[in-house]
Amino acid sequence: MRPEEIFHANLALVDRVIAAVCRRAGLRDADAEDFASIAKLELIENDYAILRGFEGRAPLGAFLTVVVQRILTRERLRIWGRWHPSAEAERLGAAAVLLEKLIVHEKRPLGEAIPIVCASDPSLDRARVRELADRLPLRAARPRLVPLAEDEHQFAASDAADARAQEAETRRMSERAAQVVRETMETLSLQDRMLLKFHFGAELSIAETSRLLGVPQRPLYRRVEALLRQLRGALEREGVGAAVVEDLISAGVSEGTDFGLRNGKNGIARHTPLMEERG
Amino acid sequence: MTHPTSETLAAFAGGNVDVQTRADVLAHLDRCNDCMIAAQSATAFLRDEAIATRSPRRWWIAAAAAIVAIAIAAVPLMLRSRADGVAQLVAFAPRDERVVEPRLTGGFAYAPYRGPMRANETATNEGRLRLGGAAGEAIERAQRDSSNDAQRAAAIALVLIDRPAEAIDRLHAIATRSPNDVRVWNDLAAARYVAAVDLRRPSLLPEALAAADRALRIDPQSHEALFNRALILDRLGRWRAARAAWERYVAVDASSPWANEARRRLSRLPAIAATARPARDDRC
Repeated sequence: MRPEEIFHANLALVDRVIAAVCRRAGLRDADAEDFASIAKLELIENDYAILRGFEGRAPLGAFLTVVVQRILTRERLRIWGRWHPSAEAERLGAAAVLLEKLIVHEKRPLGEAIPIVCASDPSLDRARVRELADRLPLRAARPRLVPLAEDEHQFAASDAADARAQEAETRRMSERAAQVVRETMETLSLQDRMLLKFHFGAELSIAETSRLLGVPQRPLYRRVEALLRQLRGALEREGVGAAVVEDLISAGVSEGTDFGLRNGKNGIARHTPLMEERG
Repeated sequence: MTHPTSETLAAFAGGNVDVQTRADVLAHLDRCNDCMIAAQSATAFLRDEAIATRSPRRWWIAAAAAIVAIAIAAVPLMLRSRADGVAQLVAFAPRDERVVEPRLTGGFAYAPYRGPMRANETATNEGRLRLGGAAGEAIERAQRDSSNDAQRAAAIALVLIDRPAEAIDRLHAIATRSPNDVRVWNDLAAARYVAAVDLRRPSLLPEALAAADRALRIDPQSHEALFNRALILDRLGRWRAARAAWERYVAVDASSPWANEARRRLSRLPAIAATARPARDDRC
């Protein structure tokens, strides 16, 4: 089949692929429609050069997904250029980085950014995203004098100061835990590291991970357990025991911490190509 | 950094690579975020497709129903004399203004395009009412007549009465059955263009362009397809390619009113901006 025929015969598949990539990227409505136009144009450009390169070694849908995903990455880089999140956003984690990118870099209103961030991380609700937004540094607004209302002579109570100190300690411990995990990951074999990245970072099933690694599925369950034991041992040796980890999880700090399971600073696990960086 | 090709990454996601390629890709993914995302995306797509395939579908019931419907429809067709639906539409098309911006095949005479019709114009425009009647007949006829001609007439009718999305489905089906019919590909391009503009779905413009290109592969001199191709490129903002396309049109049609419109459009094209996307003049 000629590339032109492949395109015409598989338009429905092309639409499905683009829709899936847009969905994962949080692109909707007019944004998704515009991107679909760009992606389709690239597919037919130069007499279907992209499709001419398809040799049938992979399912067409998977091939198109990779192509469209890469088009999205390039397109965003073209529009936004490289963008670096604030240190605070990085510290707060992937969701905060995404949120900052949406409201600071893309200048989207908070109301529009919240559902995108929530979609990227189902564990977050709107209130939590608003909290994250409040904690992001203001980059643009210039400070100015404003009149104080008569009844606004309220000062930080000692309780609030204690809470901030506790929060700082929790964050410090979270960063330490993340560092230990990252360092331990570096000592693993490539296959073990990718096993953890695929399964926990990219949230792929063990069946999918075994297919990607080209190894039988069954032993992977035990391998994952062994690797987790290894990571737990490393954490405990550094004073990050089960109780501490439990505290971190209940404090919600671990959600955004970079454990090195995802590539780059921004991660992929929450399906947030909005945060892609060029390799 | 050299990235794996899209196909290699897709084959990797599907588990269809040799040991060495897998090792190379894994080593690459370990340090390349973009490719990791692409591989993850492809894996997720394959998962979604597998789930969709597994979901039970009573496809055979639909197929059987379709066969029965076709068989029933075929009987009266044998008995009924066929009027040429497209010719009727041409006859009833208003002469003072064009109903849709792109060109449809079948011999529609030139008329200036004044933009989409407004709702309050419907009742007062007798020409459009007559056209609507003819369109209704063509669509009704197509319910009994599954021939390509009847279906194409119905599709053109749907474009003319502002239901381009339905027209696209019909024309796509005809194009699948008769892939070398230049008229079908051109009309498909026109329907997609109208849908893209009316329904605000710009993603249909590249599909329209692809259909026009296909028509021109079959007949490089097709006036309708050449006109539509230039129109689509114009709408896409591909000024350089649009300029070349309009010039190509007036080269094959130098004197008709359509050519005059082509020249007007050519003269209105903005100077090629530095930010314009790369030209696609190598097509066709």
